[in-house]
Parts: sequence; C-alpha cells; structure tokens
Amino acid sequence: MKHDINILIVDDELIVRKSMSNWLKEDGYLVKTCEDGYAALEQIKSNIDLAIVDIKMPGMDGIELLKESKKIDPDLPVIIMTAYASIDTAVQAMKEGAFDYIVKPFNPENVSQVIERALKFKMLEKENLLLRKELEKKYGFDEIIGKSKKMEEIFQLINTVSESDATIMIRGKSGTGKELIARAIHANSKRRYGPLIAISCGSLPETLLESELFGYEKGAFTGAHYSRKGRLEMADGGTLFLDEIGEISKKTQVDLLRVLQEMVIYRLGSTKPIKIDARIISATNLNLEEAIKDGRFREDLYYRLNVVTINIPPLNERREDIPLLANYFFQKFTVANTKEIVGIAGEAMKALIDYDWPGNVRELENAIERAVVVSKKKEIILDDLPETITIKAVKTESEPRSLNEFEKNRILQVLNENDWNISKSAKILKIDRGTLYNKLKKYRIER
Amino acid sequence: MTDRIITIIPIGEIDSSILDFISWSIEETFRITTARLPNHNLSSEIPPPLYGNRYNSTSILQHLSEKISVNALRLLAITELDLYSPIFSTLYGEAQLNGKCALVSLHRLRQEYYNLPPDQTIFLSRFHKVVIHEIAHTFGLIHCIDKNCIMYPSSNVIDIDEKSPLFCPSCNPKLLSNI
Ligand SMILES: [Zn+2]
Ligand SMILES: [Zn+2]
Repeated sequence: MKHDINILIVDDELIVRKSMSNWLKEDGYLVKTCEDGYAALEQIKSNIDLAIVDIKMPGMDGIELLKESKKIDPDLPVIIMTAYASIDTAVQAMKEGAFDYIVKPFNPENVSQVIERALKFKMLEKENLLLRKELEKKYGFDEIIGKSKKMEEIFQLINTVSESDATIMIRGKSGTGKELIARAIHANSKRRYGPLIAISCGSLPETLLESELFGYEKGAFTGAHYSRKGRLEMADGGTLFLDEIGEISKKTQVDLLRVLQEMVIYRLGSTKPIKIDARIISATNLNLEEAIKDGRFREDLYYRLNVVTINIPPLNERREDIPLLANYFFQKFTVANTKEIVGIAGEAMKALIDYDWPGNVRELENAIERAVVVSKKKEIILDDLPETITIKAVKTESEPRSLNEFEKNRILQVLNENDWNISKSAKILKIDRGTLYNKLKKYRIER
Repeated sequence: MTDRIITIIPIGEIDSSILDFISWSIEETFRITTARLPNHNLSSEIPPPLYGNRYNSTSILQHLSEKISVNALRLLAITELDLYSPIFSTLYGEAQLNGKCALVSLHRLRQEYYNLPPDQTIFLSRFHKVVIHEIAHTFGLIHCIDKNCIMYPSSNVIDIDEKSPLFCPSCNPKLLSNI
C-alpha cells in the first residue's frame, strides 16, 4: 500500500518540489519536501522510506547529502536527480551509494519504475517485521480467542490450511465468529496482499446476488447503465468469502458450481470468459447434509466447497474460554468508553460461565458492551448483565421457572439465534409477527 | 463564498463545440453545473516556451490559481498549447491534488498529431478521459491500479484509449463522498 510510504524530495527550486510532490501524491505516496540538505538531514532522522535528491544545490550539494544520510540511515535508498549537463557527477553519486539517478525532464514511466524498485528494496525489511508480528499472534488470531482444546485445534487447522489454496467451509452457529476465521485464514495465506471480498448470500434476492457475484455489462438489464465487476472478479488474486452459502437458490448453485469447476466467469449480458484466481471460503449455520437430502442444496456443489471443514463449537461447548473472552471484550469496551471499571465481579463471571449463550460469542460481546455502558460501580456486577443471563443464575438457587418465564426465555433464545430477525423468529416460534411484537412488549424484551 | 460551479477557462482559441462537449461531460459525471469564462491570453505572464514551443504546465496552474479569482468550486483550463512540466518533458494535463485548478492540453489528443486520419470520436473520448481524470484529482482521487479505471495513470494515448471512461467500483465511492 502506497499510503504509508514516505518520500522525501530535496530540491532548491520551489517549482520542481511542487510538481514532483503533486505527481507522487497522485500516485498515492506521502510526500515531504526540503529546500536544502540541512533540513533534509533532520527529516531523514524521522520516518522516511525513500529520498529523491537534486544533485546541484547551493550549500550542501546532493552528493554530500547522500554521504551524510548514510551516517543516519544506511538503508535509506537515495535517488539522485540530475540535468543532462551533470551526468558525470551522477555517476559519481552512484559510486557513493546512490540507489539510481534520473535525468530531468523525466519520462514518467521510467521514474515510476526506479521509485518502485527502490521501495521494493526498502519493503523487504518491512515485510520481515510484519512476518514477525504475525508469528507473535500465532495463537490468538486477532479477535479469535480461546485456550480450550477445541479452539487450539482450530488455530492449528487455520495455520495448516492457510498455506494451501484449498477450498474451505466454516460451520458454526450464528455468532460464533465465522467471518473472523475467514479473515484469519486470508491474513495468514500467501494471498494476504490480495483482496478479501466478503458477501452475505442470505441477504440478497437471487437476481441481485447473481449480479453481485458475476458482475454485468452495460445494458445487461434495465438499470445497468455501465459495466461493473462482480465480487468473484474483484477477489482475483485474493480470497472470496461466501457467507450463508446454504441460503442460495438452486439456479445460483448451478452457476456457482460451474465457476468453481472452471474458474472462469461470464459477466451478466456477456459471453466473454474472464479467468479468475480466487480462494473460496464459505460459511453456513445450516445443516447442509439435511438440505441435500431435502433437495434444497446440490450435493456436487457441497463437495466442491467442502474440501476442508472447520467446525466452530458453540460457546457453551467451550465454557472454559468464557472468562478469557469476557475479559478481552471488557478491556476492548472499557478502553472505548474510557470508564474507570477494573474488572468483572466473581458472581457476574459465574453467571456468564453458567449461561447457555444461544447467540454465542456475539451475544457475549454485546452483553459485555452493554454492561460496561450501564455499570456504575468499580466492577461489573450481576445487575449490569442482561436479565436473560441473570434469570438463569438466580434460577439455580430458587423455585422452578413459571410458564411465562419459560416463554420469555424461549423467545429470547430464538431471537438471538436469528440475529433478531422478527419474521424469521416468528415463523420458528409458529406465531405471527403481531403476536411476537405483543409478547416482546409484555415481557419488555429489548435487544 | 464559492458557488458549486466548475468554471472552464479557454487559454487561447478553442472551438466552442469542443467546450460544449466537455461542459456536458463534466456535468454528467460530477453532477455539478459548469460556467465558461472568455478566452484568456497567457503569453506575457508565464515563462517562455522550452523544448520547441512547449509551455510549463506547473507555472500555468500556479498563475491560474493566484491570478484568476472566480467564485467557483473548481477551475479547469483548456489549451491547444503543448505542455511540459518542471519534471516531465510532455504531459496531457496536470491538476492540483485536493486543490482548485486543473489544466488540460488538446495538443497531443488528436489522431492528426500522430499522422493518422482525423477521428472526432477518438479525440473526444480521449479529451473526456483526461479532463475527468484531472478534475477527479482536484477532488482528492489518486491513481488507481485497475487498468480499466479512468484513474489509471496514462503515459501515452494508447493507455488513454485502453482505459474506460468510468470510475471503478473502488474509486467511484471515494469520488461520491468527496464531491
Ligand atoms: Zn493522474
Ligand atoms: Zn479506480
């Protein structure tokens, strides 16, 4: 990425500094300018990736500046700018360790190449640094946290599969962090400098999903005023993450299968084949084996997508990770809120561990975020947690639950499992939306 | 006060149908109204030409941004003059990144310049691409790596002809949020 590359331009002529810096900025670089060698040496002490230096300047000339800069940062590539008249001195500059020289006026293509080569040289160091950081994170891929045996197996698997281009299917209930796993695989793969393109297949109707996936040509349908790349094409050189793959229509399943077999796409309204090179990761919270039996999902597509499976266990099957996760989110949200809370009280933590977490990690994250916001004490206490969690905590010590309580908990559970989608939840509960709304009001259930 | 207008200033004689075309192009692309100033003559105010009659584009831009005061959002200068910059021997146009002014030369955009039969469609298509590209720079857009995108940097007319006249899916949202 160019936007974090700092280039220093040193020239005594204002108009050259202006023109050069404008041109480099148009290419996305960050640019600093100095009018003489002394100011330049100060700049080189800070964060500079490349210096482009005019050879003829009053006071300290380009060659002297080059020598001095080597004392401060021996790895800094320096490119010398020169006019036709002073090519001899440019050659001398090369002997003093300049990376290259460019002759004014430049040929833009030429200069771009010299700059890119110089930066690549510098970049190799940065890349090493990145690699080291990634190794440090090896057993905690960003927000995927856990020390349970099941999670350690998943980390191992991520490490192994990242290196290959194998197609991966991530299975897990809603809220278990399937997208985070996909991101971790991409970030650890050799495609990490390519794009990660995500699309949630369940949220789009068939026609829209197809144009999103495959793109379209101008005039392919009403409203297609210009051609557009689809997500598959955009993911070229990187990873495509297809979330909620179980929701796609039979027709899209056929089209997707053909793409996976040939790695060639056709934009809607076009017969021109476009080769793509993308790694496919899909995810679902549905039981696809059942969907295959019912004829809702193609078996051949299933086998294409499911070369490697990563099963993420629901949170209640790895309760030993709950304190770790709770503390992680606690820290995340106290920093964001700048509140002076020191931790989670023992009874509150016990309730968190005992609760069933139908909404999984996402529900835990939401609960902690809310608790940090409402908390008025030094610690997060039982009262700061949502009622659904504390009811269960109290229940273990008191009388059996009433029918109302049972109903309320069941509604909450279904809502959490379905991302608070009212229509979907009502269907599962076998009541209409109106009834569900009334019950939410009655039990004062809020998200 | 600046009006939401892009003002076009012809430097020297420019065919009015070409100016009409580019006004329309700009309005269609950026959804910003255009206005036109009378012809402006620069010859006495900028450094004399170099390299066989090429004019210093950065000096012209600087002159425009300092000397021409209009209540416009952006100022686009169009000229038949051949251009060079303090660092490049030739160029089609130059813009102030995140600034007010852009300059485009018609000199090297016509087929005739390359000893080919005239073709108005090709010429106007190049003109459109260069103008929209340069104005987009003034709205903060930088070069794009997508070869089809209008923000791909072109160093010759073949590059210009090969890219599309449109913004790619990653540049388009940036443009929309910046204008
Ligand atoms: Zn440009
Ligand atoms: Zn672009």
